[in-house]
Amino acid sequence: MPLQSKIKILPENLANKIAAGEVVERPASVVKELVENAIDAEAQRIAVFIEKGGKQLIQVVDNGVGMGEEDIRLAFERHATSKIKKADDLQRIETLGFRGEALPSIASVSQVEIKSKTKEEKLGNLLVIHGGKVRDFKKNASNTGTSISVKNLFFNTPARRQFLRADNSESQQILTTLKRFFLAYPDIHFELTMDGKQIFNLKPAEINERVREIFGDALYKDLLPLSASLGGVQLSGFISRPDLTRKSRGWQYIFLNGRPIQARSLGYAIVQGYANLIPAGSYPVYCLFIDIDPALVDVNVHPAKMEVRFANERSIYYFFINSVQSVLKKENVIPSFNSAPSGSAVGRSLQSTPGEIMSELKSRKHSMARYSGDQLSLTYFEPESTQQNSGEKEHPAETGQPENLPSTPAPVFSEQAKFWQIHNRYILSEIKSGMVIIDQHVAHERVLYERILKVLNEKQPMISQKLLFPQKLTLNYEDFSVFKDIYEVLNHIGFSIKVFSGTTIVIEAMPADVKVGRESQILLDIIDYYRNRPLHDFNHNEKVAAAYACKNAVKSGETLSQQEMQDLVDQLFACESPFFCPHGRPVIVTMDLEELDRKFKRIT
Amino acid sequence: MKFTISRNSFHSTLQKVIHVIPAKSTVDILYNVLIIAEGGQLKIIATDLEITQVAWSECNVEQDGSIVVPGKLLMDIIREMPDLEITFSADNNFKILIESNFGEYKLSGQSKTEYPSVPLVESDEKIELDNSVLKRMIEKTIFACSTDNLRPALTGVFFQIFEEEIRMVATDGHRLVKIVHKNSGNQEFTKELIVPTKALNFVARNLPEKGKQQITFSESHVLFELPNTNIYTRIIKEPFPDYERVIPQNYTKEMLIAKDDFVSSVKRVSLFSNPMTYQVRLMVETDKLTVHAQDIDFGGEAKETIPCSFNSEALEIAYNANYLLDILRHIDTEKIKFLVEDSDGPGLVYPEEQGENEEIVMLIMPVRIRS
Repeated sequence: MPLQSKIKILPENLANKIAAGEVVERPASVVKELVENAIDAEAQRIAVFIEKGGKQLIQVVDNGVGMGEEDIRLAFERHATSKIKKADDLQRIETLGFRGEALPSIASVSQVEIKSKTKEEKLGNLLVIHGGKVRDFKKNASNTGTSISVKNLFFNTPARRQFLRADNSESQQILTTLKRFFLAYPDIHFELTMDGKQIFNLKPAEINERVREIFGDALYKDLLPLSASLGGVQLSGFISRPDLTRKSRGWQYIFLNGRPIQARSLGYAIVQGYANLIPAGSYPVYCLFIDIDPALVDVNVHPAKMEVRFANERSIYYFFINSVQSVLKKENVIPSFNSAPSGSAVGRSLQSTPGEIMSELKSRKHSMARYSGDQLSLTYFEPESTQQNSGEKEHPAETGQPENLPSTPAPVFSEQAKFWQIHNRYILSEIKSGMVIIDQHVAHERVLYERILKVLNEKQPMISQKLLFPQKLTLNYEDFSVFKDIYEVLNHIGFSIKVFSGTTIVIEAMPADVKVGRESQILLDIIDYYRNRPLHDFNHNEKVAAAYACKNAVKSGETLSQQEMQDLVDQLFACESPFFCPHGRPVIVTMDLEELDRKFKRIT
Repeated sequence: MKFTISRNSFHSTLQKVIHVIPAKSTVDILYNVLIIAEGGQLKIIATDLEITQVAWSECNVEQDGSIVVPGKLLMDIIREMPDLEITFSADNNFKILIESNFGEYKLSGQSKTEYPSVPLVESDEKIELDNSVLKRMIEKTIFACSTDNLRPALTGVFFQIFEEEIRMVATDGHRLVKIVHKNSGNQEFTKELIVPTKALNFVARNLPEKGKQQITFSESHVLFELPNTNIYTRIIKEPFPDYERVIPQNYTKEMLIAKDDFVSSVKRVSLFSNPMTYQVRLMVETDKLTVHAQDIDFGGEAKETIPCSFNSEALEIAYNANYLLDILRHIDTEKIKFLVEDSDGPGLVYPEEQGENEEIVMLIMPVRIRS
């Protein structure tokens, strides 16, 4: 019989190959092991019952293949697994559980009752183990599949039990764990009942639908679909618009071949993809699925099987950055006031696209552009209208790279766009679909930032205004050492600074857009900014550019004339990514007419 | 207090000082004017703490007194009135009553105790200047002042009073104007001081065409005594940069060019410059000047060629078009002398002929371009 049963005792040498570790830390890890087993048993429907944060009861009921009498008995021996037979198999793990240490570990610290029946058997079996000791093992009438209940976790290890958190907190952990499964297996029917209340009843569905159910409608509508492939690696899923960030990583999911994983380097790659579109301390929301040849990854890094390693880590890393970037470049990423779910499809189609806003606000330069014929090289993008109007968004990566548009659509308004400045801080303007609000400081910051980067990349001439009275400035040693670091970049972007003697420097020229009289101040500001900001995501040049842009930009509180506002808006929309400042703060916020109408109860 | 006055006298007196009221201030009382009636005279005072202006006119005072009144509201009432006799009275509770044939207007004032006092300018250091000369010197200089408060010395005009001449110099660090009026100096003292631009604006506005004005200098203030109004301004107590050192003396390359052609050409071409830097390039050759601007962000480009005469080999130099236009516009002669030495040094602008008793020089720093 033993040779025909599914579960084998691992050979000693193989058991040692698998790193030892703790499997059962808290109720959530029990849930994880049990659900993984259920999935590996090819269950179509999995019901989870939790009482008191899992401390009192964790029960997982599946309709999978079930276990025969012999299997049940073996299942509770260490390193008993149905999933690996020899060391070579470790190279290609396609099942979730494989260590064969979950069930015995759980059984040793709780009161386990397992009922299981295979399709072939008439009667199932019931096994009761308390603290690792078999209390009962008998035939039992049950449905095909397995039901495992774990009661009074850590009842015999009071020290561990003490370390458990409050019920609510443990429930949250369980929920976090389960959500990963929910997302990874949209074709499995999941049910979750906590303390007698059904929390989820997720029927088998397409992945989009499942994501919507888990993330909620409000969050879902701001997710951008992503799909890309590189070699044998497939990447798909959703990422959030840059303005939709959370203050924790709680809404970040990565699945590798269906297995939820934590891959710090990939998480970092995604954030890099957002580059400076998100502020520090904020985290994007994402849910991504990687499909890759199992031979190219090592999932056996940690017993909880959350960390993985890739064979060609670097190329995967850049693949992630590029995939995220191409989606963000493609999509409408302007924040809007629509925080409440607008629901209706009409509402969405009324929202302005970045292109529309640009063409409406860019009135002056359009007329100018006509003079210059094909020299116009506007590098901004305009999303295809199909993507905007339909709720079902296409996967953007398949529709090609963002293109430079040599010709621009006719402006919607023939007359000059009107601007209002409010509180000397925001610029307000009317557009066809409602209004836009622009933060003057960050708008200017974005303009300067891109310009300086272009100058640094020699795509634009550097223009440097000579000073009539060279400014002599004595720096302290700390500032001077920073100055030496950035000296060359500064001279490259239009400063002309010479070291006079010691730590005394002489400023002879400034970039032409620096305001008269601010020469010394701006240099000191840049030095301070450069020193104090750990801009890890920027390279050296970008950091100087960001410092310069931030310090030289129009401040909030400065009065702007109509012309200055028009110029600023024109410049802004000539930027490659006008919607976010170098630190990721939004530059433009739109408010739809419909939204205003709703606020004034014109429509309901 | 109580006085009667014609609407027109009231209006013109108030009109003189009303612009001193600051647009925005943290000190609320500055939105008001102080009205004093005594000895057959109405006096109205406005201040922004830097500049104080006092204006007066004859009126029929029934009862002496003073009161502080919201400036803009008072102006708005008086402006809309036809020229009638107005009676203005205030009681001890600072309730104001303005009566005319049309009807009456009541408003609330406040006690003058809160209102800043008029600075005392008592000094023997006085000069007299022709109105036309003062006005001209102010107009030729204030445009070049800095508007940024970070370097206060540059937000005013530098006055230098010598024995034989009076000089006024203004700069914002990128351009500079120096105007000298000869044979008008002062035998008794020499003086250097910086006068805020805003005050000079008010002086120019209130200067009549003809006559002479007296200017008095105290330790902290300057007083301009004008017809029916006095303007007091605080002096900017900062060292003015050593401007003489930056005006080159040894330039030899000289371009002579028609001012109007040059100005309108730069104006047109600069429309195509980048609106953040307004940079235009000048290519000077022996017989022509090419003005060129390009805005890479938007793909705009413009080029114009105008005749000139230049006594040296070709030279390219770039300027901020706004600075350049400001300077060119303030030259009165038909032709302009434009001196440059290389594309890195300052450009010097002179009128073709200096005016009588006058020497004017303007200086503009170039922008450096690396493409």
